[in-house]
Amino acid sequence: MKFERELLKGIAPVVVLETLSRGKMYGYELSEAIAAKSQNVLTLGQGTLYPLLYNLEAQKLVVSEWETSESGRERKYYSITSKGKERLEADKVQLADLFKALKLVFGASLAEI
Amino acid sequence: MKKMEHKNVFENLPLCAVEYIKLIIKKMKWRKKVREDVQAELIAHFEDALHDCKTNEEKEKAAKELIANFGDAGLIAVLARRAKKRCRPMWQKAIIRCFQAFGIFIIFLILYCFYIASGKPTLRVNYIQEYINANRPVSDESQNAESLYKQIGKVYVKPPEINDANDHNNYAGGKIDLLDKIKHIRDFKQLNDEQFAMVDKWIEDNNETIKLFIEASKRPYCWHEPNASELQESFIAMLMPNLSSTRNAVYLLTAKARLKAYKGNMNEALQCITPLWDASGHFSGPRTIIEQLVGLSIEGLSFKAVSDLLAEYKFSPEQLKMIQSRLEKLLADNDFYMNYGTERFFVRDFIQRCYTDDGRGNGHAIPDQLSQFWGNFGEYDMVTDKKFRGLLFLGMSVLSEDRKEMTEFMEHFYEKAQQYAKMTPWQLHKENKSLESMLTNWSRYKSLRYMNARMLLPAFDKANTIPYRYQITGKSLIVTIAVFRYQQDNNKLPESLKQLQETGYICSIPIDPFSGNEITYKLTKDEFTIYSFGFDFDDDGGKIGVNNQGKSEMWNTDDGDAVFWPVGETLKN
Repeated sequence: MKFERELLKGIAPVVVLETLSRGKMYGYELSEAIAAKSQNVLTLGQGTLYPLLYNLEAQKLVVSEWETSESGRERKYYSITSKGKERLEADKVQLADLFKALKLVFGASLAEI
Repeated sequence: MKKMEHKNVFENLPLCAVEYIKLIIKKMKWRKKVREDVQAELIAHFEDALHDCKTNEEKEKAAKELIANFGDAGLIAVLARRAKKRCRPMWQKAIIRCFQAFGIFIIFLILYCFYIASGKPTLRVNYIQEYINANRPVSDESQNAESLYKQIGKVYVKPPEINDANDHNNYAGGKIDLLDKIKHIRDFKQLNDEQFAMVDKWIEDNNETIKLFIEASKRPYCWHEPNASELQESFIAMLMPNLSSTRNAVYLLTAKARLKAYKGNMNEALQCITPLWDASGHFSGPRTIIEQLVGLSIEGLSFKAVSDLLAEYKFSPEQLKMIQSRLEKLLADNDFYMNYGTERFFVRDFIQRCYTDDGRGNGHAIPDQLSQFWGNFGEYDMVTDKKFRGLLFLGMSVLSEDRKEMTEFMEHFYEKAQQYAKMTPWQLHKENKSLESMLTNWSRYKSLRYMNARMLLPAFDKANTIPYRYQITGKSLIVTIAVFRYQQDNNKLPESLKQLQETGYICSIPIDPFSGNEITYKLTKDEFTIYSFGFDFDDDGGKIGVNNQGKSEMWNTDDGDAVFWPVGETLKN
C-alpha cells in the first residue's frame, strides 16, 4: 500500500528522525530501513529523501559525515543530533495526540481499517 | 561535514542512471563543491540499489525502476538546491543578503540616474528682462548713458608702457604700465619729465573718451538694452561689456584732475572729479553685485583723488565749499548698502535652468544643465575627460538637494544677506552675525547637498562691508574739507568735531560704522588726524594696519585703523 504523497509529506521528517534515532545511516540504507520497518507501507520517494535530509541538516536536526563503510565504499552517513532528538520527541507526542483524535473521530471503523 | 575527495565515477552504473544523475546535478545550478557532494551521494545510492544485480540487463532494468521511484530530475534538483541553500551558515547568508541588497541598491541607483539625466528644464521667467525692467525707470533712450559707455570702449586709448626700474610694483625688467605707475603715486611731482610728457599725451589722446564720459555722466540713468538673442541667454551670460572701459575712463579722469592741479588749474581739476560722482549713480540700486562694486569703486577713486589733491594743493574757500556741498549731496542720495534685489535673479535663473519643474515647485538637478552652467563660469574646466565630467555632474545632481529646498534656502539666504547688508559692520560684529559662519557650520552631508548653492553664493560678509567703507571714506572727506574751511576762516584747527558742527561747517558728525561711535578726530601738534576703527573694531590710536607682507594697508582685516587724514598715512607703501 502506498500513501498519498501529501499525506506522507507531513510525517516523513518524523519517520526519518525516528529511524536515525536508532543509529547513523546513509541514504540508501535509510530508505531501505524505513521500507522494511513499515513493511513497505512507508516508502519515501527516494528522490525526495535527499532534499528531506538536506532540509533536516539545515535545521541542525541531523548531521552528515562521509565515511568509508565496511565494504570499502564511501558513504555519507546521517545521524540525529540532540536538537533532532528533542524535535522527534515533540513530534511523537503530537502524532500520538493525532492518532487519539483520529480514533475518536473514526471510532471502531478506524480499527477495522 | 567531513571533507573528502569523492570518486565521482560512474563506471558501475548503467547509462540511464548516469544520465539521470548528471541531469539532476546539471539542473541543480549550484556551487560546484555542493554539486559534487550530491553527485557522490546519488552515485553511492544507485550503486547500493544495483549492487545485487548480476547482469547488465538486470542493472538496466533496476536502474529504470529506481529512476521512476526517484521521480522528476528537475524537481529533485530544485528541492536539493533549496535545501542546500538553507544549509549555508549564518555569516554566509548575511553576506549574500548584503550583496543582494547592494545589487538592488545599484539597480535602483542606475534607474534613478537615468531618471535624473533625462530631466528637462522649464523656463518660465526671463530674468534678463526682469532685470532690465528693474533698472529701466524710463523708456527714453536719450536718458540712457549706456550707449556712450559703449562708445568709450571703442575710442579709449590704452596707456603706454614706461621705463621705470625703481618702481616697487615693477617685475617686468624696467617696463611698467603708465596707468599702474600713476595709480601708485599721490602727486605728479614724482614723475620725471619723460613720464610726465607721456601722461600728458595719453590724456590728450583720450580727449574723446573723456568727452564721452562727461556726457554720459550727465544722463540720469544707465541700462543695458539687450537684443533678441541676448534675451534668450541665461542670466549669467547677460552682457555687461562696458564695466572695464568705464573703469578705465575713471582712472583717466582722476589722472587728468591731478595733471590739471599740477598745472595749477584747480577749477579744471575739479571739473574732472565731479562727473565721477554723477556717473557712480549709474551703477547703484537693484543691480548685480559687480555693477554695484564698480559704482562704489568710482566713488572710492574720486574720494581718493580729492584727498590727494587736498594734501598737495591749496583750494580756495569757494572751491572747498563746492566740493563739500557736492559730496554731501552724493552721500545723502545714495543708499550705502548692497542691494540684492536683482542679484538674486542670478540664482533664480540658475535654479530654473538647472532643475526640473514638476509644476508644484519641486524638481531635481539636471546633469547636462549643470555642466553647461558651470562651463560658462569656467568652473571644472580642468575636468576635460567627457565621461568623467558627465559622471561628476551626474553625481552632483544625484546628491543635490531638490529644487524646492534649494529655492527656499537661496531665498532665505538672500533675505538674510539683505537684512545684514543694512546693518553696519559694527552692529554685525556686536551681535556676532555672519552669513559665512552659517555655511561653515554645516555638516559635510549638508555641504554636499547644497554644493551648488555654496559655489554660487558670493562672499556676502565681505561684500556687505564695502559700501560702509566707501561711505565712511566719503563722510570723512566731508569732515576733512570742513576742517580745512574752518582753518581758512579761523586760522586755527577746530578743537573737536562738535565745534565744527556747532559752527555750521558740518551738518552732523559721521558715525563710524566700525565702532558705532562718532568718527575719531584728533589734534596733533599742528596737524589733525581723522580715522575709523577699521576691521578690528578697536582704537589703535590712528595707526594704520600692516598686512602679512609688512605693508601698510588702509583696510587691513587684522589690526590698525583706517586713517583718512593725513593722506600720506595711506600711501607710504
